[in-house]
Amino acid sequence: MSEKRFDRFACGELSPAESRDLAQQALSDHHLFDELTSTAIARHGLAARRRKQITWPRIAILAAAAAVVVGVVLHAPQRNSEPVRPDSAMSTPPTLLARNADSNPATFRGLDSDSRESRATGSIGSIANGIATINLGSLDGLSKDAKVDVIRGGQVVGQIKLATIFRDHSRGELASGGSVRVNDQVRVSPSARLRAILDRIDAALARGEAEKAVSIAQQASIGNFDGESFAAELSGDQDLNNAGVIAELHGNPTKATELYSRALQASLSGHDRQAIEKNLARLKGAK
Amino acid sequence: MIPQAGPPIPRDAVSDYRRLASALAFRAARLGSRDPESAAQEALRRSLENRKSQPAVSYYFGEESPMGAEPDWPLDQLLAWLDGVLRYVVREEQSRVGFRREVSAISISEPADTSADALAGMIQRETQAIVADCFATLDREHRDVLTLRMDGLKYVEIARRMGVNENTVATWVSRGIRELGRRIRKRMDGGHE
Repeated sequence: MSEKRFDRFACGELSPAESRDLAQQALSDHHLFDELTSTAIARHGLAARRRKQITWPRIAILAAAAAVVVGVVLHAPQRNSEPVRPDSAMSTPPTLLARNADSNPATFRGLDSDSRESRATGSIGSIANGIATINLGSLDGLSKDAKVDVIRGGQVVGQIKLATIFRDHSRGELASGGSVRVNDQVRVSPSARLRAILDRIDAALARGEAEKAVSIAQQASIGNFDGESFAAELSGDQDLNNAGVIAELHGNPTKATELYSRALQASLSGHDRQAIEKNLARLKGAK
Repeated sequence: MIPQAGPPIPRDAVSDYRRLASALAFRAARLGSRDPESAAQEALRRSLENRKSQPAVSYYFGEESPMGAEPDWPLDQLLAWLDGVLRYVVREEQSRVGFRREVSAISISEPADTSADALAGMIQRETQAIVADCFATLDREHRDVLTLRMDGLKYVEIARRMGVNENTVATWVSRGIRELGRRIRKRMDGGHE
């Protein structure tokens, strides 16, 4: 049997007919049967960890649950100040959207709830031949070619251009700054920080933890919402919408309106459009 | 003893799957069965009596080309199930003959509820425990790429994040799963490959 075929089985890419051919072949080769079984156990065990596949009805349920929670959060402080106008546009809370689920059934989704929190700062663990390893990775929103500032004593002393990104660490070349040392602090850009937060929101929604998603959005420490670069790299309608919710929850309706508008332009799904239009209409109605 | 979940099957139904029974017997011997052929027959009988596994057994391992619809279960789910039932049967056999050897190195309690669903749940838990243990022993690159895959990232997204090309990611994913399978086999066989 070809390695390629086995690799496709390992990745869950064989059609039922191809799987039957492989199964029939394994009946004449006990070692192949044994190896297929072990690989199947590995695949099946990993698949059990994947998040439940998100269907549109599920997204609607999650969005509704998030909306309810956000509504509670938004309105709770007002109970002690002024009554909520029942006919106000603001009586409709902002809605978070889950990203579209991967249609590939072999896909596993959902950051584990025990994943460490994303971080805005980390440190250099080692430097060898001009390549630095830092303790921040994809969990922290980093991606290839991203640059992180190297900080010492509150001053930027250099930059690292990242080439290889792992879940919780990365490697990259020292792009500038000859005096960069091990244990120097590194800081992710606001856009990477935002991406990490959006990933966590999506993972929480994927696990059905709408309240946690809202909590992450509320507690997001982004920095300056007014900068032109804020969310400039985002393109997906769900991410743009959720960034808008973050801006709204942090009291920046202008930025939120801008992000909702961009989300609407990027939206292809009817369900998403409805939710985004609702978010936008509420903000406009509140002005 | 697991009660029959589905309708009784004809006595010769198992014999329709002689080659599958032979492959299972080979595996039962590796699991330490003293009577691997009987263990294989018993595991196969229970799988044919189960409404969920029966269509998959018939589709993938039937001697004749399947005429019916494709089964709900993919092949990997069926193989994991067959192996789980076989391990259960071997453990029962070892209990009966008065000795008990650790088969999987995972402490398994007999299910209080012996329905087919309870058995499926037990197999699932056991499988997950073994996979989790073996996963932790994989190389860092394999663990990272499989974790990102579990996070739901597509190959192209993993490639972008890790700074490698998409083909490399596909290779790492397949090699990672196969290596995980090898470690699981080694673990279940008590260390020998």
